Amino acid sequence: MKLSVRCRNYARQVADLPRAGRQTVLAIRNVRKSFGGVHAVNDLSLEVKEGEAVALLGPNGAGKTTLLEMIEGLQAPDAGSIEIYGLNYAQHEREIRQIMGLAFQETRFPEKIRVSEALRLFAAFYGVSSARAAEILELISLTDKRNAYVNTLSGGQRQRLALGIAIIQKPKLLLLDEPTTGLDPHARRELWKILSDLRRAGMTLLLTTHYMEEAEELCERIVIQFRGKILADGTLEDLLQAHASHEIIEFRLKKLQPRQLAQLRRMKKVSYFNIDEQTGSGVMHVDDAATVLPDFMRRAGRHNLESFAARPLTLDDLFIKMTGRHLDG
Amino acid sequence: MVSALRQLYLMHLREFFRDWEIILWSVILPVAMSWVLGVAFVQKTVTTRQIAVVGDLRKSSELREVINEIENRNISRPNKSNDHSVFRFVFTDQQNALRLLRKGKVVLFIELSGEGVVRFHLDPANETSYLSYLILARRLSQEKVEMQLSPVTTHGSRYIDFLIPGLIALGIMNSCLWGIGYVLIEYRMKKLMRRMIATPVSRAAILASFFLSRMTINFVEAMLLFLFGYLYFGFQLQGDIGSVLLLFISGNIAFAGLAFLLASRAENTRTGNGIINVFSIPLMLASGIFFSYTNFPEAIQPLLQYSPLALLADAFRTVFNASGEWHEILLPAAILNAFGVFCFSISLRIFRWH
Repeated sequence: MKLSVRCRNYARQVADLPRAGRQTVLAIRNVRKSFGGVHAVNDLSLEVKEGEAVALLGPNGAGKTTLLEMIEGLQAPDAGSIEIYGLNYAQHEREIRQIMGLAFQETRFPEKIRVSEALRLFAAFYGVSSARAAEILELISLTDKRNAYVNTLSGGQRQRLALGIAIIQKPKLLLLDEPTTGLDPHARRELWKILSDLRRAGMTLLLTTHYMEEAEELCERIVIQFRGKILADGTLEDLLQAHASHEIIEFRLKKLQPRQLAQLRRMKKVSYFNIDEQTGSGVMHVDDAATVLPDFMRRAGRHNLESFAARPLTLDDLFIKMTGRHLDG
Repeated sequence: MVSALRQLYLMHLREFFRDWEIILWSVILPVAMSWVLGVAFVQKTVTTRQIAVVGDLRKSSELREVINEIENRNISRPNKSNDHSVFRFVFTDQQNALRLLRKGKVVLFIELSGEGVVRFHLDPANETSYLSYLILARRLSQEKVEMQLSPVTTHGSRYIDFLIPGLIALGIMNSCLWGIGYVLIEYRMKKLMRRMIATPVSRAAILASFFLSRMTINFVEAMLLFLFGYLYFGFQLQGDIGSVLLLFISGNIAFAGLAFLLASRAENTRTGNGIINVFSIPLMLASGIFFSYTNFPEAIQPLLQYSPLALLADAFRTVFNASGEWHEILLPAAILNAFGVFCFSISLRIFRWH
């Protein structure tokens, strides 16, 4: 208990510092990695400060996992440098491993190993007491499953165990590769709750995800990676401000004539327009829906409009606009 | 239904033929292996059975004649192409003959007693021995030689005494190859190996844990086999326990080394399965555990004697059945250790950690 209070105080101190004044946890400089001519990571630089929570977003094949594996020291960059608290893998691998916690998308433990045994194993790897293993059981709410074989756990319980192992030595930097992919919404919420608590305790977090909601919920900083490069980096508000308008209009037309389509495309104060000519459903990014609406109604035709809705811009819209792809597609 | 069956059938075939590693290990190498074992080694050769003769041959002219005849004419120079049986005789004293029998180097031995009686010493439970006895007895009965069959029942000389040390050796090999090799590949496939090396734990500790745990399990297995042999068959340890332990540890080192080597690269357990079979089956066949490797052509016999499993099985037999001397144990132990260390050092160079 005393420890968690101290952690919280520390977290408050860190949070009070301006970002520029905080210590750099992770420094990635001009890193490249290619596989057979394909640039998975292409001259990428990124810096993460103490106490930050960063979501790394990108479609499949954007190079997220490659980047993460280089940070984890499982792959060596072709060029560039990666430092964790100023340490590099060539000289300080063991020190880095001690301060870094991580969970892969999937790790399968031997089937007939109990939850508490798996925790004790990794506790020994990090040289922490088995009392900490019991503490972790509490933290990941698996105390009543401590004697269960790992192959009897549900997907969510398995992910919580992986997370428990990732934080067993109280790492200063936590790396998670798609921590909730494949989980049902309830299991996802449970994991988010644990991660939020860890964040409040001051842990620096870098995670990759397919879920916008996850990025918004857990991370104040969002990095969008596409084709091996960083496309956007900032807080959610920054990104929404800088890269798009403020509102989204979604609509569906009953019939779509070519002349009408041309008219719609010529509309003013619309920063992004896209329509599926087959189904007649479309989307527009606008500064202010109220000012665009009368013009839109005139051009589309009131009777021709099947459905219509205006809503604030989300990260998902932004992502599609920037990469032309859905995040989970 | 039929088209579904057809598509499923095709899927399984595609799955198989599109994985070159599986083709290599489970099709091409077994064919090569069968060629090596079946054609190259066996085709133009004959099975030689060694027989020891004890006593003064001058006392039985009939036996002398038969031996001469066998060695020079009829059976040893087969005129029928399918007659592959050859007997070869070694003349020695009783003690050495018994020793050769225990090691499986001779199938039986013939003792000439003073009155011209020919006494056969063998374990009738061993079919090769019994068959050899029948062939010889038939030939000798034509000469009206008085014969006696004396089943070998002294501990250390029966077929079961020959078998158990070999089974202990085989158990160590199989246990290492599957328990270390296969499991390593499985850990790699499940990304568990990758997760472990992403912690500060030393890689040496990971590999050592495989070796030590497997040796513990092997110890229990070997003890159970020995106890069963002891209680049920009266199998006994005639040599000293230190030699047995030395050989046990050397065998574990040899086959753990081989297991690490075989598991160095494979990314999935299907490939691993093939690799382990391709190595373990020939080693088993050439080991002389179920049938003596003296059945193989003479030209390659020295080679087979030094295959790790044969070496371990022979050395175990020497200690268990013939209270082997240290100098008989040290060479096999040294070779086994060197083999294990050699395999392990190659493995470390090419090991795929994730």
